[in-house]
Amino acid sequence: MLSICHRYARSKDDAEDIFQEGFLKVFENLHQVKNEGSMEWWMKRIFINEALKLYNKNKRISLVEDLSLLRPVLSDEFSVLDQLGTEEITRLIQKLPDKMRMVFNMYVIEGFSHNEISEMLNISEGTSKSNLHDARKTLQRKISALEKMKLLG
Amino acid sequence: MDDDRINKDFDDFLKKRYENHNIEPDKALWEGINSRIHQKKINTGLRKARYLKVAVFSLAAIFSGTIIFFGIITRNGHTENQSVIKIAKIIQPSDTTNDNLLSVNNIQGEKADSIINTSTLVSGKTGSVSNGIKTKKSKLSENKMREHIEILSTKIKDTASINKIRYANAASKRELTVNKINEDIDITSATVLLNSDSLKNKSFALMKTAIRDSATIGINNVKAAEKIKIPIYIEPGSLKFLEPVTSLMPILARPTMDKSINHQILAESTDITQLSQKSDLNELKSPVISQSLTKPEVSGTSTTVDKRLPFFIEGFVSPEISYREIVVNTKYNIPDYGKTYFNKKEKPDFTYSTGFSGGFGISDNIILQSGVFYSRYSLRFKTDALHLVNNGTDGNFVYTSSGSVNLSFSSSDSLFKESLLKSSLNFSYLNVPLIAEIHFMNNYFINVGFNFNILVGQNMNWQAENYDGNFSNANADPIDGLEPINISMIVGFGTEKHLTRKLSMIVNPSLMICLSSINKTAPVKSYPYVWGLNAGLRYYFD
Repeated sequence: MLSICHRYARSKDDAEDIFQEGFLKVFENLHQVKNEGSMEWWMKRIFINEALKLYNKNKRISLVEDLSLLRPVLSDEFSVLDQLGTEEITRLIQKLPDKMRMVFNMYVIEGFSHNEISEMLNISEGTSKSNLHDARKTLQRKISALEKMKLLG
Repeated sequence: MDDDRINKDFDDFLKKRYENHNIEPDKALWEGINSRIHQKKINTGLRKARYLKVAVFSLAAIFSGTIIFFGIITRNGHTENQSVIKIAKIIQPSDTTNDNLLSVNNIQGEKADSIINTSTLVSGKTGSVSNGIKTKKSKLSENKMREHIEILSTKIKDTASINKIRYANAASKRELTVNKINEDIDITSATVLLNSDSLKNKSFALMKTAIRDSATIGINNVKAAEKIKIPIYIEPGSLKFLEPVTSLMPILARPTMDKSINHQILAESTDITQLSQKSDLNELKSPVISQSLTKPEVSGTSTTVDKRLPFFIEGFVSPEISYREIVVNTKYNIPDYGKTYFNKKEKPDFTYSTGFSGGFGISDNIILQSGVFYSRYSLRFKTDALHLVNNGTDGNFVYTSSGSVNLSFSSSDSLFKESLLKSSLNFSYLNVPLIAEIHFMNNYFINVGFNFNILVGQNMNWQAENYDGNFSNANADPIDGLEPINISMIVGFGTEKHLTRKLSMIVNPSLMICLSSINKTAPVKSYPYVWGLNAGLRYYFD
């Protein structure tokens, strides 16, 4: 679950805050879980909700990434991805702008539809799609930049 | 298409990466969660206790208010149209002949047992009195009767509540005063005693017996009152008391009484139904006697009770002492430490409030009151328990239960907590109350209501001693994150002393408890409460 928190958070501290709040929620509401099979999904939703709460709270002060240094994606990005550790990928995801990060995580990793995302984030489906597109491109650029930096030593 | 494929592959790759990816929370994180869970349990308990306290407090206030209110309704309010019933009867002593005496005595003879009981209540000397009653037309010796009267007199006069009740009634201009029957039996006191629930039945029995015995026995030196007002409580909707009361009149109008006086009995209100149903009052009633009475006059205009005027304005000032209850703010990760720390260093302080209010009576006993007043909530700090935290520049933070305060001193000397001498924290509020005031026993009331408190200022005084021995005042920045408005509940008990018909003085000890915290961002939430003693003048309008 902490892994989920890291993906949705901007930083390690934020991730731990989300984890803490989420865990307290789980602890408080544990008695409500009836079907043990759905436990993991139920917990997952709590942590995602906590992440969304933090996202909503920080909406007004979201940082704008400076993307000017990033160059277009390289064709062989997947070979680069293979070389990246999950922690490094997580850090790249964390650096995405808030809304992009949320949409990207929810769509790509959690498998929510754009319709569900639009309801949860209170945005239109179009915005969700465009954020997803931007998130992908941004991530790909970041990966390329990372690779370039690695090549430069 | 290429893009779609790349995106899909990219997504699948990441999804796969995170499928079984776990990060282990470190020890510190678990400890944090543990302490949060622990704290949350405590806070939940505290919150529940707090709600419980407020609920119990409110229920108690409502319950006692209801009891008192309905008690008053029963006694006074309900009988408003009937209670001040004047049974004015001028009895010519000549009308009350020996026939009446005979009738009464006959009845007494028939109901000897119950009369014995009454007599027992009076003197505790069953034997002597009952003997006198059991024997028709026989008389107690004059000595016995004197002894009897003395006992009565002592019993009545020794009752501590008499004067209080008498003065209370005098203050409300209820003329409960009754002339004395003779020098020994103070019917004034006996009458007043009737207002006391606990003594009502007993004293009424005392009085009845005194009247009856003195009349029956025919002691010549017993002088009847010119006027006797017997305040008797009436059961709602019942006028049965009229008969028992009137039935007393012939007894009073014995030939032994001063025949030059017109005797008059006024019954204001009565609870005598209780007595009338079971006591010897009904038994004393005789057809002969009833016939000898003229029809009682019932008049609402003869009341001697002043109704409360409907509108008033009031000015008051209240010396107060304020403190607060604090609850750890769960948003901050400070376990027990926070509460203990603040409780150690903060102490109650004296404050005041003053203002004006207006009110109107929605019934005889309930007044709704509102207005505006200025109040201060204040705390003192134990300076030796303070922690100053350097803010990185030239100031220091001091944490209070209401929030952190940034202090900057005029002196450039370093500061230690020992150098702080005096410190206090004051918040000024404009309060808008909405209060129900429930009156009972004529001069007393309880008040229950809410205040809307608007923060209008904060003032922090910090005085420190520098190394050179000089004093300097610290400049304190305002505390951020204070709630601009909060709600408090107020309950109190008071007394109203009428100085004139329209002017009265109020003394009203009260307790104000904040129901919402005065701060929102501090590590602890602060709920002030204030004990006060309102003293005010109230002017009524017609």
